Amino acid sequence: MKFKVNGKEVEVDVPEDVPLLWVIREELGLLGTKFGCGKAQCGACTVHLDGEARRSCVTAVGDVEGHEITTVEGLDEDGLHAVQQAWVEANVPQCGFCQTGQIMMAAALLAKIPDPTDEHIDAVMSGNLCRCGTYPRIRAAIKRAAELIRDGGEQ
Amino acid sequence: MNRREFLRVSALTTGALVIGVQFSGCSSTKKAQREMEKLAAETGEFAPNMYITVMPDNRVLVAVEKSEMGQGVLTSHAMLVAEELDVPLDQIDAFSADGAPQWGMQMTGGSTSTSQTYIPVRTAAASAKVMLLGAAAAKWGVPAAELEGVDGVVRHAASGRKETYGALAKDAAKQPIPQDPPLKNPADFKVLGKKAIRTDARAKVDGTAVFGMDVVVDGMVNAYIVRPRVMGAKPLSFDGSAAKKEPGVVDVIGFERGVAVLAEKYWQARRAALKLEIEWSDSRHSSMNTAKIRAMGYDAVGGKGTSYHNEGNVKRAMKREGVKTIEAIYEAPFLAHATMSPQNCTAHVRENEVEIWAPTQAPPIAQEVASRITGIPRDKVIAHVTLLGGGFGRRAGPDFVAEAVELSKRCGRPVKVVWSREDDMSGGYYRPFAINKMEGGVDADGKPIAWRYHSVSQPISTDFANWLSVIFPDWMPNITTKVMTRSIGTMFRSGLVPEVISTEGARHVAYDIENQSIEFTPLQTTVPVTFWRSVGHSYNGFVVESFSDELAHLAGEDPFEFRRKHIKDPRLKAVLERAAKEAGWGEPTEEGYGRGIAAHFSFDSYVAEVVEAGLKDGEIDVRRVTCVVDCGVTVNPDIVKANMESSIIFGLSAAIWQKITFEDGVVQQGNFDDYPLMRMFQTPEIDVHIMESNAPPTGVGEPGLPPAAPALANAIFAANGIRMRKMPFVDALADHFEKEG
Repeated sequence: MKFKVNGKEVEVDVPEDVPLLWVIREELGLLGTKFGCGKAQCGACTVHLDGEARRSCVTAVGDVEGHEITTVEGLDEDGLHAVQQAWVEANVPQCGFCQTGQIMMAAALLAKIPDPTDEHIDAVMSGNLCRCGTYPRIRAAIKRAAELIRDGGEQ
Repeated sequence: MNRREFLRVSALTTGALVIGVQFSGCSSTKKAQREMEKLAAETGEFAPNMYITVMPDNRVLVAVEKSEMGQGVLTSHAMLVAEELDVPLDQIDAFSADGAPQWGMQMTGGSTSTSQTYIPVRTAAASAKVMLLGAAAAKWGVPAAELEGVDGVVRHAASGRKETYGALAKDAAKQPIPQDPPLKNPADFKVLGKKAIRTDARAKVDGTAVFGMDVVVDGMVNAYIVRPRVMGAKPLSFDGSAAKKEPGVVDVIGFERGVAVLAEKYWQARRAALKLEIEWSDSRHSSMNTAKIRAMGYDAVGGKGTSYHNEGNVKRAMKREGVKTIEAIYEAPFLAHATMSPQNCTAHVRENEVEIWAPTQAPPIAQEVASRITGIPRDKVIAHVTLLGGGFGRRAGPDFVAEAVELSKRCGRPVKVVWSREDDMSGGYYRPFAINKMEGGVDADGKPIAWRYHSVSQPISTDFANWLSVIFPDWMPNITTKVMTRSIGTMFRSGLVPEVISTEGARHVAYDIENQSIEFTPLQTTVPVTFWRSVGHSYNGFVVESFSDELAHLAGEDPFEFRRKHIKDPRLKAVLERAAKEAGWGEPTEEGYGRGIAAHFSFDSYVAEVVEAGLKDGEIDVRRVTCVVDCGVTVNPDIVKANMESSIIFGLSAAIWQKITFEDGVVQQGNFDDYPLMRMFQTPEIDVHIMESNAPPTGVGEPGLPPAAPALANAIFAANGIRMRKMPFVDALADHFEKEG
């Protein structure tokens, strides 16, 4: 089946019901998307499907045929997306394992809601777990990323 | 750093280079000197000790004998080197070193990384700088005292001459290794003591950071192990014929841990595993259930334990005229670590050597286990340490390493084993349960005069005894190793060796109390247990700081004032007072909300926390946590704060929701739906304040955890008079509301 990943057309030959997460990691060799729970409880596997956030661990690869996937590797062509920049500035990551999923979710949030309130952040980001407890910094970094985007950063 | 450099430097750290700064003595230093010169002549790299390599392009590689699990140890090492070597932080590549005996224990835990490495790493860097300046001095014919190192460049102000460290590498390698180089005066620090961006932040946000399960090795197979529902059961027989026919499957192997499907891709192994038919043996764990363990614990706690500390006479004091007494039993369950990355390991057993890539907190344990399984000597086992993806004590374990090694031994190819979340949750090595009885009394003036602690818990040292052989020297014969390990295990099990881990945080009472009795009774179950963030303190903090609160209320005193009056250690009192001040203790709170306070000393650091919380629709709502930490001098205050934030959220998650329970030997929890972690919408505001200090640096990875649970329990009591003595608090509240109506 054919679909786009980070702007490039790819073709994979696997059973339709293989989770997109493993196609991304093993068929395409993109390891930035992580496996944390396998049942959409933790959000570490978050990617964008036609610009919308999706948990790739419960998305069958057959369902994305003909669609566009963005992984963390393709979030910004030239380097760092405003979200990634804000994340580094605020020293958000600790162990780091959940962070690419957090970033993909935050980027999707900001694409829809450029000036999110705490309530927006609570509602949208609560599906992404962080065992190291970086939530307060994630919250601050999302607001900072919103500022960066407003002031002309990458969107 | 590119992979070639990484491999070469890894080879260095397993080689013969002695840490010039730590071991003086003619023959070893001369050998180190020769090796150093040879390396520089051949490659242009300057490596005066195991920590530091100055590359010809002026980058500096820093080998760290600790594992990075989020606590920021790679960054702190880079900063220590940046300071003493005068190199910009972004020119430094810090990485975890392969397992090597020259590093010593090479274990990461106990919040000891900074305290253990603060002086040695700075000394290693200062030593390298002396040699670089010496090389330039010799080259330019000027006194070294006229030279300075700035941003990776040696400069001679008078003449304007300058040269990069990288260009001086070959000459520096000919300089004698100084034994006692001077370290910078903290007043002159440019890097240490300030916020710096984590050296691994970029890789962790752009997806390039390599965790254990991201390792890819040529010729690798991926393994998924189908495990028994009842811990300890083994496959008696299995039918792998259907699984073997599935695409990509290389083999199906039954062994101690279960039945493994080996396939070219992990997703293929997972699919094929569904086609396995397995008959499981019985297991000695199958009679294990939580109700039974609790009953045994409650039964034992009613008696007398082995005495660990005794002052005065608690019984007599409690009977004195005018003394008000209280008795309380506090309960803590088994807990899983739930590292964000499930357990995993990649291993390749070759004819005469083994290579391992593991998210391990203790590469020597990985090497030892691989050596035992394959018969290959430990010095031929290469253990690479990947980013951990969370540790909290779980990753010191040998189990995930043993599996990969065993499977690779059997199939002859590199094998990567990745656990599912369910495997991880039910796979054992938990924080032990604890049932703790407290008795105490206050006199007519409200002074606490009696304090008795009797804890019943499962010692983690019994499991750990099995891994103790890693500290035995290589030359010790196997039979001796086995016998000693068995003896040590027996000693721990019998209670002959003081159970210092289980009683940590309770053995030394923070308060000035004349009559004290500290007792412990071990209760052995078949559940594998181990270190879990803050270890014994993780429940003892809850016990002692809840009980001191109950004594304060018994005395009719404000819980902050009561503690302030009776805490002995001035540093503990100082963090307590600052926390109360920063939290606005005494100011009115919203209706239904209250404040609770707790102060605890652990891992040589002092932490006090004030929690503002209440019940909202019957559920705990934590509004704010104020945390004050005294951890001596700091390397990176922003990372200290991050560790406190982390410990608080970790501790609150456990206190409010978490437990691991058993029913007929089957763990009842499987994923994050039944083992909840705190989520964004539940996260309180957290304010961390660091006490100014020039004391030597002490722990920051764990000390923020012990005060969190009791401060929350104390807040809920202040808010509505409900005293929660059982963790998780949702269970305590359920019990309370059931009793009520």
